[in-house]
Amino acid sequence: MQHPDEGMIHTWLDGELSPDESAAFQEHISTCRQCADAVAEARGFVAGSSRIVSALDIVPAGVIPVVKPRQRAWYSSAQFRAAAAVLVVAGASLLVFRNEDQKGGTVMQGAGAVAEKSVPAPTSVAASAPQAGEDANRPGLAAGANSDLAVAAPMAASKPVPDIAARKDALTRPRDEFAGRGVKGGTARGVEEPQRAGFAEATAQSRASDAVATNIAATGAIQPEPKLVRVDSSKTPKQSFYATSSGATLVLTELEAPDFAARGVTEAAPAPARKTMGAPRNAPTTTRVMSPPSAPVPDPMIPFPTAAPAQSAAKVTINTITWFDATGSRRYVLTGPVTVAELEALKASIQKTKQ
Amino acid sequence: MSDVERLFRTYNEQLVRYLTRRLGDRDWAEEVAQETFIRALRQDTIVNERAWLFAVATNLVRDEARKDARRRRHLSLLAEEEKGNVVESEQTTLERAQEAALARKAIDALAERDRLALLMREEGLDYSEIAEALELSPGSVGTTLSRARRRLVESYEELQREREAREKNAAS
Repeated sequence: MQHPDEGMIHTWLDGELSPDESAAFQEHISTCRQCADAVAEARGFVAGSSRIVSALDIVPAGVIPVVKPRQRAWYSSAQFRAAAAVLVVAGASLLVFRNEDQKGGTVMQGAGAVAEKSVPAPTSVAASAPQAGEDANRPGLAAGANSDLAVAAPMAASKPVPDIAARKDALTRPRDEFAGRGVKGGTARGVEEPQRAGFAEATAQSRASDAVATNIAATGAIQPEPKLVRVDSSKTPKQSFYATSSGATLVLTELEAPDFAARGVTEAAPAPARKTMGAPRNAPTTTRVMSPPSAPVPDPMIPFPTAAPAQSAAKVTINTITWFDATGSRRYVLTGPVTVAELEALKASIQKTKQ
Repeated sequence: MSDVERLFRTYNEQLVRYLTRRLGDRDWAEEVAQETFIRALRQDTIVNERAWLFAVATNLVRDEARKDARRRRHLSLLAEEEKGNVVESEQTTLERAQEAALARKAIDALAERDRLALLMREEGLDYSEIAEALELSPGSVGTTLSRARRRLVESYEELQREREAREKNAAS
């Protein structure tokens, strides 16, 4: 074999010679010192060039701008981001306000609520609240709970006794719940009034109770034909919210037959007491914790399926009316801080639209 | 999985690295690689996939290189390196940056065919694939590679010596 040229040496190093050529090549370099040196040098070039080529992959920071300036997408512009931020804030505020609205409604429901296990007030009431709640779970101790309340919340102390008595009645005789609630409806109003009066005098009045008071005051001049403002069908039961021209919110709850049976909202199986969430924090109403232990109903917005006593024109409280649709498979519960007559008016218009 | 998707998964990494080394610009390399796969999509039959892809990519680079703006940008990057305008960084990073700049210069000093053959070989293409992609005779690939390697290493070492001499002058 002749001395192989450099190209052949590289071809051999790259494993690209045929088996025959390769055998002849190996035999030659094992005997030829000069070619063996050439192979050694070629190995160095192969390794060296490989290393140099790899060095091309080093892209040092700041020296070579790897990312070339691109047109920014429309949504990453500063203006768009600012606009998006504003929208987010606006949306969040809307949610908060709506919540507050609902809270207002719930609080007033709370006046008639058997169950109450909400955030304790930050005053001395807070300390007694949990205990009151526990005691209240046993009807026999309701009076004890009441005395706690009387000490802790003196401004609410004048009237709660009949209220609690009524609740005790309701708890011990669940079948009479509707009747009991009827009583409570009246009692609740009675409780609410002095409390509100107390609030008015109190300097540390919570904003939420402000909202409640405003809401209630506004209902004095309520107009018929409230407008449907929102339907929440994500929850079961479906709820529709109506706004009166005076700003009060009415809630229409639609219960399917299995739904209200399961929830015990029928005369045969009265509803267990419910937690009323969304009661205003800081408000002493939260001390009226009267939930029996087996009352895990999470939905705070189901109003009481009973008619509150007729209202005198001057005093407004939460009223609830309930009716079945023609087939009897659906139950409507309408509640809000307006008079029964006004609820009935809305009911009539709802029935008209549902037909 | 479509054929082009398979091609992409199999060869994209190699192709982008080859092009990045060739062009010194990763974004540009990715653009060219994408364009290459798009062309593969339009191609009915590809006998030797890898050779075909590298050949098309290489031709695309050749066409693109005629575009002045890119060329200028590339040159301006080299000029930046020349000026030694390396951002403050740790010693090792600086050394590696200098190494990369030298490698780039040494590679750019090669003849186009030698450079491409070498870069393709570094991506694992065999001689027949390189011959096909560069339209060489298979027997000349070894010669081309041996020349490319020798010249690359020699010019790199030469550049290194120049730099060391400059640094010595600057220090004294």
